Amino acid sequence: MKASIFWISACFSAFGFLPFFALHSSTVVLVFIALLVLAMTSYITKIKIPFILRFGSLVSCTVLVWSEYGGIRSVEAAAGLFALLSILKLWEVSKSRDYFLYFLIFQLMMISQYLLLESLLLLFYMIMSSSFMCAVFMQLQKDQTASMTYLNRGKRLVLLRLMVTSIGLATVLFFAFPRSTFTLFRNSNITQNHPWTDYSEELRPGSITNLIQTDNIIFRARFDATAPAMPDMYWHGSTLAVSDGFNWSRKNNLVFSSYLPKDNPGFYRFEADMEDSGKGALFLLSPSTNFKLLSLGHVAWRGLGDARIIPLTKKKTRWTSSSVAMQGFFDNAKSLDEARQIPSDIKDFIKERYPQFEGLSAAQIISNTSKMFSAEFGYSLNPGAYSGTPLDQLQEFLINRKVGVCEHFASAQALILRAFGFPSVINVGFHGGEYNDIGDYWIIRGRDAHAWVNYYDESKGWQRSDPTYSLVPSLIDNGATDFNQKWLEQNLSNNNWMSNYKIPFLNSFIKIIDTTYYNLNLAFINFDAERQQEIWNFLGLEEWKRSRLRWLTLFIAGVSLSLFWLANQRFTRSPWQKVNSLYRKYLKKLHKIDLRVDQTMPPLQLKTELIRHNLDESYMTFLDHYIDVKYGTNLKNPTKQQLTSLKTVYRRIRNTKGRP
Amino acid sequence: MDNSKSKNLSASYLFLNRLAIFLPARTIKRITAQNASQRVYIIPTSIGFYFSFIALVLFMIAISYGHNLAFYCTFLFFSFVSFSAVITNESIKKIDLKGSDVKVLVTHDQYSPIRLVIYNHSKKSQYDIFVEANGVSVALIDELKPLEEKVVFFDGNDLNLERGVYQLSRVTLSSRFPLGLFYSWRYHSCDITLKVTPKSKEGSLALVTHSQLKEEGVGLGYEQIGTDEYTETRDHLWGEGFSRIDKKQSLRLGRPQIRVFEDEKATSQCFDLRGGSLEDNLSIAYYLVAHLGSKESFSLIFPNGLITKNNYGENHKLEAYETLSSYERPKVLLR
Repeated sequence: MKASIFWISACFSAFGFLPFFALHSSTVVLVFIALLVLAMTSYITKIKIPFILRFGSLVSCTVLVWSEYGGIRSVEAAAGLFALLSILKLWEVSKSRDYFLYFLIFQLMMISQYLLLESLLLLFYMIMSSSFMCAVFMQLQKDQTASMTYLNRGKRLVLLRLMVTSIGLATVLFFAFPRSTFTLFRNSNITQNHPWTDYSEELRPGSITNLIQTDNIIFRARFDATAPAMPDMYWHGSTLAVSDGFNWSRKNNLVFSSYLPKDNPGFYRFEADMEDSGKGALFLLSPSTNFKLLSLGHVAWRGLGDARIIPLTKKKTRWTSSSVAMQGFFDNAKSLDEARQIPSDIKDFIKERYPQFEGLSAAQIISNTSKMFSAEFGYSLNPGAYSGTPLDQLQEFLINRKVGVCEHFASAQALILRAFGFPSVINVGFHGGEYNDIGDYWIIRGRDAHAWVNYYDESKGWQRSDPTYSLVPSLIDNGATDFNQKWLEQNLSNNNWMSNYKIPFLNSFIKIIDTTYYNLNLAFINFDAERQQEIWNFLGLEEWKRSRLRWLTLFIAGVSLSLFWLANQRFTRSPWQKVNSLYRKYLKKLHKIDLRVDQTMPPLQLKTELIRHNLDESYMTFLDHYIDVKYGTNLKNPTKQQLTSLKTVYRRIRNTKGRP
Repeated sequence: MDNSKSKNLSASYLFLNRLAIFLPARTIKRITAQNASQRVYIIPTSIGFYFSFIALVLFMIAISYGHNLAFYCTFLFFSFVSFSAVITNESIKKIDLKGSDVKVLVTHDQYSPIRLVIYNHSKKSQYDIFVEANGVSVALIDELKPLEEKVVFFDGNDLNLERGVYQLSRVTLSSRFPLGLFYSWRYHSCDITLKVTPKSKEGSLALVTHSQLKEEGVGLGYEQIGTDEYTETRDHLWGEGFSRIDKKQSLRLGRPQIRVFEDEKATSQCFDLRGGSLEDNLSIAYYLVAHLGSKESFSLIFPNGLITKNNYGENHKLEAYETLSSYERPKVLLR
């Protein structure tokens, strides 16, 4: 028995740690594997690892974790330390108590890893590992016997009942337990940016080019009612106002005074959640929206739809946003001056290159540049890299190569506007997305990444201009999914790496999977105080105070436990239940044929009564069988054969009229 | 009874011993003095404490980080703990001790089975029931089916008793099923007399005959168990008297036959336990008696003047063991 539990424990370690290797440093992973191999070797060869070595390893592992993670206070360090400790515990298992402790350390390791990730799959992983742990705990009860049988059927049923009821109660408590935004360990030092939207801090030629060639899901958004039409669906991420000529970046102290209206819902409202956690931009629908952050964190708002989240916990970013029914915002002179900054060499180059734009209004320059791009420039998903100084890059783009993606055209147009004294900024984010008609939400992927221009018009305020539209209107009208596939089919016929965009059957299947994943995520991973309030509202408890809801949770837990206790005690079928039930039916049958007998009459006395009334033979046979089964044997439980024969005899009674 | 050297101490025994440090002696006495009770006692095991502690830590983590997986894991662990407590309690509630042996001789060097009949009067199977006696786990019942009566034997030596006579008045049935997080137990009364023999010790004792005792002149004061009946005859030797001639045998065999009494046979031995250490003598006597053949007759002379019957056979041996066990030892009550 112990041998099997050792190997189960070793498998637990391997499957609990190795799939999450990316969370740990490579040294810790290597040490973990080495310790695991050593534990297995020691077990097979039956060579006990001496205490000194075990103690030395314990100290070494602690020092290793300390040095790798810069201390042992972080969750990452805790996960690494628990992983190594669990293996060290495996080195010295001899009693069932050691196995118990091993599994508890293992669970701590798993929980530390759960804290580092947020995925629905982990929930199933957790339930599975807990079930196996309970099975091992159950088996460990037999430690003192020589019995080798693994959990028999009865025990498996008890385990199943325990798991099902536990999962049920845990689910009810999960949704009922009062949630708050209070947290003890708010980690304000989360420095990791969203890996796929890093360009929101700084836009260099190639940032978007790389992203649009990926298929990664950035975020999903579900609209309450109507979504804007595809051409108007600009997901505004960051406003980049500082330019060195061809590269753009944010300026933290630059705030555009365009206000952020609150409590003023417009014609649409959506709720979005980011696929990963970290610092980064909140994507709001351009031109401007109001918003509310649903996950924990601070938001830095700098106008023009530029909102940046600094999360307080390592959770997925969620937010809700609704439109404001107004176009354009007027800004102060200081901000506008910032939006006119341009390096002098770039300015000179542009003025020299495009003298015809001198004296034109911003709208006219926009119109003319768009026409120029449309006539002379080409759009390519793979424009190649630009190198050299910003001026070199700009010259290369505007004079020689004349090929690019949205970022190149937006950058060039904004610079031309600045060169002629008009405030302009680059907006980066996404455009459109893929609509999942099964789940009724939008999936915004890497390929939807987009950049456009916001320029300032004295009479209208900030206005949006998308130079890409003049080159490839189908990209803006139909979205990147459709456009990219066509473009790749036409231009990269030999390399159809994205040609599986539209396989109708597969797409539907993927949509169903994604819908399930998204909805479960919304219900579970993103569950919070607001969603809980929705449940209370649905149950008609919106007026209840939080303290009463806390009592309600305790009440639910108490009721669940009581029900389980009752079910455990009362609603168990007796092995004699079937026999008794047949006898009760038999008595009812007697009642039907007008033979009124006292139900408490002993069967032998009843038999005398039946003989006196000259009943059909089958009635006598059943009673004989019943007496034989119930009183004629020393068996404590009726056998299957006895039950079958009793049923057969009873069936004969049903077909008789009673009296001959 | 001091069981501190036993490795197999029951959890209820250990728990009550620890509890005695904190609770008033009267309360502990009230619990331990019970022979039988409908009450089921239930306590968390050390693993249960660790498990609950981890659930608490998880809860703190969940609240602190606002992490939903941690919340779910907390509630899952909490459910395991709660339901496992319910099942552990139910496991022992409807199990009864229905019958047991009345008298058992416990010999140190061999298996000494004590029979118990355990009855499950619930409607479902119960698993992993421990039988405890005198603070020691003595047996484990894997499964008790609904309404099943199971005969359980356990070795009397597991009780770690010294020579003497004991009355086992209580058996404890306990369970840690299903997860080992809780431990529940219930007391059941029984009445088993245990006679524990001395430990076997190799050595020799002085041998005396009945004639020698008579010659010593102390025979009158001795209480002799048994009779003077003879079992065989031999040929009459020249010069012997005629008073012991057996007429019937002489006529049957055609020559004079002399009656040979038990204590005169070469195989008949009378072990003298007087002088020296009593416990050593008892242990040596036990060894010597155990190694006698079934046809060899023997008797024992105790320091207080008790002389056992001179006889042979297994029954006689058992009687001698019982005498050795109970010699100058009052009956001790075990719980």
